Amino acid sequence: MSETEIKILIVDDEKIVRESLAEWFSEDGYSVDSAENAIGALNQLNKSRYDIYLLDIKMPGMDGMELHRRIREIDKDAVVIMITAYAAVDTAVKALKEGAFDYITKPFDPDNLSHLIRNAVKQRRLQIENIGLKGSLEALTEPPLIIGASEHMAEVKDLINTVAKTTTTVMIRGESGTGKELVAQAIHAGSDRKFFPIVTVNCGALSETLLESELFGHEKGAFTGALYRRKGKLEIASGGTLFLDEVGTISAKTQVDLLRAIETKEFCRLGGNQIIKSDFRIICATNTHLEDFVKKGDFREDLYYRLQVYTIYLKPLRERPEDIPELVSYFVDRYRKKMNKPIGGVDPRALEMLMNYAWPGNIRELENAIERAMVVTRSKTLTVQDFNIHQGIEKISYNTDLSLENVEKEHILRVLEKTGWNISAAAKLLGIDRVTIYKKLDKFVIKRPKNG
Amino acid sequence: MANLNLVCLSFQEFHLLPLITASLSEILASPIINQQVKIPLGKYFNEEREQYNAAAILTDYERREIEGKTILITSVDLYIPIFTYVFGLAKLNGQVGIVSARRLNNKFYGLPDDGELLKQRLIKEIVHESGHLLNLRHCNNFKCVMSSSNSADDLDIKGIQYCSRCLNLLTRIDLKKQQGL
Repeated sequence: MSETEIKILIVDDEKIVRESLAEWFSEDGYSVDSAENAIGALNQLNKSRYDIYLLDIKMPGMDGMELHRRIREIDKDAVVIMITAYAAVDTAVKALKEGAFDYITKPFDPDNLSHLIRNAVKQRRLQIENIGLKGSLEALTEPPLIIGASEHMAEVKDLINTVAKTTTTVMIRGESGTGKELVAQAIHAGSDRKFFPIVTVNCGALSETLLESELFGHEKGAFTGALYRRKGKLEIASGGTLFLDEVGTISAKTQVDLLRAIETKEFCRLGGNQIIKSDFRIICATNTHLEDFVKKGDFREDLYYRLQVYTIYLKPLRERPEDIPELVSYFVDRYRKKMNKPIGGVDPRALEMLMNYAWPGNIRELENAIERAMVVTRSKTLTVQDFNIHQGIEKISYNTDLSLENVEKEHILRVLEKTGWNISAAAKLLGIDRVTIYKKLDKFVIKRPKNG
Repeated sequence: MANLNLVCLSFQEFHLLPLITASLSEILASPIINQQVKIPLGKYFNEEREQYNAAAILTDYERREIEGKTILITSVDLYIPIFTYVFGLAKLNGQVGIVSARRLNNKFYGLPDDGELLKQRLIKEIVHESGHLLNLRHCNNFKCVMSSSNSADDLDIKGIQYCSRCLNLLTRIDLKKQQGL
């Protein structure tokens, strides 16, 4: 913003003051207008906006103090400088209390006036820059789009809106691929913390010591390889949100430290004594049945209750197939733009197939299926042949040499693989309860593959 | 630039005049015509302020028939009604400007006399006000003589010459005048 873009309005009943100041400011390259009374000034304000206002306090009719209030009603960020005679300094101070930027006494010391205007211009530029930056930040922190017109998704959106403005700890539950992280981002973006970071820690991806160091940070030399002091995610998330994904995998030792940190909002870096204070909000997610872990003693009950303040449950996609058409059209649109491929959508048969499929990998799997179909398709709409998903009931053939027990084991394994090792979903498909499935797993020594 | 008239009006630092004239002639690339006028300044004196009204002096002087741009130099302290003091005064594209040596002199601030510094400050202020007469506004380049200066320190920081941007502007203004625009 150059000087010519700064507009100054001088309001004074003395012609000589208006003329001299206008000439002085024009010499400095500012764009200047003037008015001889408050009414004239308000008329000017109807036509144009100014960055800096110089108002004489004593004027016939409406005085400078009242004019200041009126200007502030129109433009609350206006930079207003009051002009006063020595006798009226008290009034000028009153104006300062009402939000004026500064005051200057007549006759002006050229050096003081010059500094005053320079500071006022600086203030105005910072204001404009601040508004601009806030605007770009708002655009960056826009809540992510949560797709789905089902009753369940409407409830989820409602739950998000209710909890977002608070600082309550939120637990998001749902199978893998149901969009737990997206919900966490939406909660963060809808909160007053949106201008601060949302820091994600995938607890399942880190070993115990690494997770501790990741969460709490470490001092230089805290362990072999700790060459520098490093801030932890709890510290980085100060003012913002800490999203703990796969919270059920946290080790017993880290659970204790985490509980303490959550309750006191204080912690020490590994190998350090200095107490770090951090103002973070916790959102966590899990795709496991945490209650079972609590029963088995693998997850601390106190931490469980601390995290389980407000729960948002995301249904798997197979339980809300009415969301599939909207999701499909969203993903087709997204990949059409990304791949620059003119594909109009999905044909009705393919859509029916997609709506009937169980989607063990949920929305993530649906997105990948669409991306793949968009790559391989040769037509303008995606057809059944473009999708590589198993539909309907699979024909399963078993070797007749197998014992009944082995067939049972084989079948349980197949169903578990199909449901992405979701015990509840597998139990439902098999028509047995979850406890029975656990018993069978123990009996047949079936263990979940580590990458599953 | 055409001739510049340098008119002494109650100017006491006569010994500096030849040096100032020579420098100005070089910087402004124009002949400097020295004159001395005797105008009683009493009517411009404000007893309360103990200063002389620069704007009133200029208004009266502009009524005279003068050829070319004119800078009055004086040793009296100048003011204009809204300002507590001015080092100099000139209207944009005006005919007459005025510069006071009073506040450019170290003695005014209780410091030892420094003829060389006073000469430098006077030249800068005259070149600055001449710039306004030639329609130049203040310049953001702090080294340029057209940068705004409201204290002796400001004056000492800035240079004695127009910056390249101001020189370009002067050339354009000159061309427009030649073309009668």
